[in-house]
Amino acid sequence: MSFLLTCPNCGAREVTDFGYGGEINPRPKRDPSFRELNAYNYFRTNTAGVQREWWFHRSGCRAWFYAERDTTTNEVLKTELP
Amino acid sequence: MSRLAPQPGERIDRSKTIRFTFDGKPVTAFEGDTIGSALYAAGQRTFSRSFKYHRRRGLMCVAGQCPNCICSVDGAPGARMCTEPAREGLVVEHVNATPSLEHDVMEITDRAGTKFTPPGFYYKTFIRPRKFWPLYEKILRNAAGLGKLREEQPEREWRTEYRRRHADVLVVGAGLAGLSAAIAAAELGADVVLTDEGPEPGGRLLYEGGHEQARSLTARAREAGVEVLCSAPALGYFDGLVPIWQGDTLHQVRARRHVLATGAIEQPLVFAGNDIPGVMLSGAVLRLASLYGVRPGDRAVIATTGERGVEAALALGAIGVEVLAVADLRRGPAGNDDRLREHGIEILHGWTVVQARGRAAVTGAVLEPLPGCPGHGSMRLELDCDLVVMSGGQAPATALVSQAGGSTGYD
Repeated sequence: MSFLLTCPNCGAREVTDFGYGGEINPRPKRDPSFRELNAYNYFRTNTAGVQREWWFHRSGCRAWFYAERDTTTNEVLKTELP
Repeated sequence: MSRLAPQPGERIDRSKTIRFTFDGKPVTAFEGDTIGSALYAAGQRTFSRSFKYHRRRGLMCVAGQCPNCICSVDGAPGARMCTEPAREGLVVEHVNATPSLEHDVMEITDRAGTKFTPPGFYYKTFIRPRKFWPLYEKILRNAAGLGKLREEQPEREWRTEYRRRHADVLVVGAGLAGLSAAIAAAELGADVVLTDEGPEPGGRLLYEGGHEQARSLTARAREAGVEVLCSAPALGYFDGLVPIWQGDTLHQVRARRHVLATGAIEQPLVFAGNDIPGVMLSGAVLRLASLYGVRPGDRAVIATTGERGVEAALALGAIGVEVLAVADLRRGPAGNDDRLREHGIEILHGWTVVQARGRAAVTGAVLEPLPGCPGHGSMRLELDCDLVVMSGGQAPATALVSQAGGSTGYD
């Protein structure tokens, strides 16, 4: 696995510069039930296709940002700051 | 020393000498020599021993493609003498022969009766009786392997530098095709990286009389802004990322387009004794003579399947090697026959070398016509020679493109 990610601050870098933060799932609202918390913590949709995910520019500006990546081809469609 | 007069375009610098040792004996080389070329010039013919039968192995390809000249350099096994540059004070040692390259006790496996060691016998033959296995194991474990690691490793002095490089085009292989591709792309404004495993760009041009063209193309490429990496083999292709190993630096090159101009690997011919030291590929003798100014032999017999062997014959003739005959597998007359005859070299169409004779080095060659050619079964030529040059055609070097998942085709 090897591809380029465009950090919104720094520009295109090797993927090994970044840390993967997992797919984006909506934060539960105030005072969630245990069931909601459980779902937030442990359930993943594991999309085969385009998914929105968190990335962390570990060896660069150390910013967390969003990326839209096709999980089947590793093509990165878009990156943006939250 | 069997050095020729200075050759046009040679890689060595005769004004600078280097001293290193091979098995404790001092060897003198010139700046630009490889360990292999310096030893060959000093008269060494046996460079290693074969893995199992401990048959002598001499220089064969002089291109880093065969394991014939494997050695240990400064205690690190696995170096190839024909590509490893000679440097001042190197300690070069042979591998896989005890007590010495010239006298190897394990050679008995090649000499002893065929019943004891038939071709392809396994060391497993020695498993019975079971209770003696620990004894056998001790001996066999020592018999196997190429080279020995040092008991204690020195403090790691070197470290790897990692360098990332983004480019528009990566060209692997700096022969005529690669250089031309790199120049064409760079002159259109692309950011180009050109890499080659050899110490200078040019590929075959360097030893086939095109060194001036190679150097002018290289200069033009540099002028056009091509980044030229030498002694830098590309290690593989991983989703568009090509790691290139150059000394202590790993260039991680990501390019948008790749041109793989990796060239071809010359193939040997099959005949009895084709592993005796002194049987070499045509490219090997040309490299020895043109790049390092080393005389490959005095009396040569050439076995070829095409023009490459004929060109080698003419080149050998030009440096004063006596070419006794060119055995050409092609049955009919070919383009360069007249040129060979002008130089007094006999060409035998439809003939080939069926045997190379000799033990420590080639002493002769036996030539016969092919089946279906005039004289087959009745004619036979035995020539005394110290060099058999073979050229069995070219196989494209497709390792990188195959590893990348590509396919190849003829057009």
